[in-house]
Amino acid sequence: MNAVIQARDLSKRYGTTVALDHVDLTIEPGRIIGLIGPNGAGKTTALKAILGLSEFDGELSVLGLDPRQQRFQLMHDVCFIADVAVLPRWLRVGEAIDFVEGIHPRFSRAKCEAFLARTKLKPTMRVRELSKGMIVQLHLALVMSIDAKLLVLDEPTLGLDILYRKEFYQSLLNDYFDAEKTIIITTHQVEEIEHILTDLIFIRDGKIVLNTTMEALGERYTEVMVNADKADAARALKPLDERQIFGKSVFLFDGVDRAQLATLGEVHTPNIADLFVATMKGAYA
Amino acid sequence: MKTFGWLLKREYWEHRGGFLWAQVWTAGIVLLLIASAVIVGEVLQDKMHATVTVGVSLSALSTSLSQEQMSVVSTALDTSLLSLSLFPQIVLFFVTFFYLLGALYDDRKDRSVLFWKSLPISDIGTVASKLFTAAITAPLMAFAITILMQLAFLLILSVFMLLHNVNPMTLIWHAASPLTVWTKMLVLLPISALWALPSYGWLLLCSSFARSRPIAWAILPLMLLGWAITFSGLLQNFALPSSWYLRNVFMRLLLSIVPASWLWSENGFDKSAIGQVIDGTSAVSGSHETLVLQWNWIFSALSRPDMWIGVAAGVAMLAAAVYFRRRRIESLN
Repeated sequence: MNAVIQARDLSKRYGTTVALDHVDLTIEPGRIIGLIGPNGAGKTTALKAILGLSEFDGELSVLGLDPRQQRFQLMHDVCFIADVAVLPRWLRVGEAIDFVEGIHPRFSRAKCEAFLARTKLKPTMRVRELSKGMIVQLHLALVMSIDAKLLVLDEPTLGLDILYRKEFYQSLLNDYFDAEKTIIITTHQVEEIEHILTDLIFIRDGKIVLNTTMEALGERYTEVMVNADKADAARALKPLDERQIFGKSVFLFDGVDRAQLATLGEVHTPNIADLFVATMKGAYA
Repeated sequence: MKTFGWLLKREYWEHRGGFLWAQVWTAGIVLLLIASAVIVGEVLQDKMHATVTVGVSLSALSTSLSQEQMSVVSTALDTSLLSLSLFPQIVLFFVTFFYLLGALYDDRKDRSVLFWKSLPISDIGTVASKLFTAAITAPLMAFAITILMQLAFLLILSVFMLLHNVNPMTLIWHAASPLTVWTKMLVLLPISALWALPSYGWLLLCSSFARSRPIAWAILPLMLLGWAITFSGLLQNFALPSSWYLRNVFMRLLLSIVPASWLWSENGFDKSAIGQVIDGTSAVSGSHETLVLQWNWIFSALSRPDMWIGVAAGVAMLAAAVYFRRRRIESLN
């Protein structure tokens, strides 16, 4: 099967700032990719390029199309929430549904109404009367009712409370995702999407610093909780990161044999947030 | 095609306040003023024993009219019908002007452009839907309101006649030729749209191009250019009158939306033409021309080179507007 996204030597600069620095990237279908990076790392720039919303240098093909020239055709199979609360304020909920149904051949009205039935939204309400959370609910309901091949979510749950965030990611996985679809998510609340991701990409200063599947992540990275007496032995193995918890040292290792580490202390797979913090050390320096 | 229909519907949803309700309110207020003027007139007339004239004195109306007098009444009625249509046209001008300036700018300002761009809508389709709304949808709505307004006006007049024992069937409904007036207005509509193409193009281009204040982009460069041309005496070098720039560039780009504006851009203000359109009395006192807005004035626009130069310029500016629509999404950062 062809790659959903194929990028070669992708670059973009704003004045003297390099937002994307010769990025190579291939994304296969049927994956849920977390695109994680600090503010200003180039996440949004990369998504903009993929969605045909900005110019760039290099080669990029999305679903076999050039997003610069063929955004219109591309949007038949790609859906995105580029930012929170961008629905026009004058629009009514019912009009929004009618419009997307009229415009988009892959929109399912029944699905959308089922999503909205779980909310307090009514067809006659105007977007300007809605709270920020309700606008996001409406937008997500519209987008999740479109049977797209690629879904791009840029901070999709910003402004939503924890109850709705959990429910959203649950229904994204259960009601929306299947082997034909690909989802790219960026968010700062890494721990909330950890369990649904199949792939993880870290981006920093316009460069991809980590691109791995979640399985490979578990094989490659190991966290060991070490008592003070063995800490020097652990440091000798060149850990990525060291932090202190309850008088013990927690070391993060990249590509060190797990059996060897087990002799030093209790080993487990690091969570994404810890890995992120270790990888991005000095990102704002 | 189906998509285009939805795009037009979207424009209507967003702007029905300007295109529909502003017109309804204006028409309502004008009719209210006319009705109260009639009532005040009635009261004063009772007090002062004055006589009322409708081109011909009202007492003469109660008896039968000569052919000559009937034609005067006819012209007077058609002229007042046409004058009434000025009100929706004035509203239409202001609403369209600001609609076009905001059409490709407002959604970038409030970031909702990101939502529209997430749907399979081409940029050329978006610009075309805005153009169609300004050139066809809005004028058609103004036209519909005008018809209703004119009918209401004739109705008020009929009631007034009845009060004076004059048969409104013969005097009003027979004498007036609303169908001719409406046909002319309808024929005028596409010709006006063609004439206004440079304005549509320029305003949409500014709307699409501006990162802030599209109205400043639309007006200031043209004024600066105008001053530069005046002070440098550039036009004199080409043996053109100093008003050439004002008439053929400045006005064409900003004010071609004004209905039938080719009538007054030909030789400055063509007083004989515009005068008769606005002020029916000259037509009445003059040749008893029943056709108040003459067909040859309407079609004169199509044989003018500046009409077609304007159309070409308009199309070029629309293409530029599409170009910037594709590139300018600076809000996403």
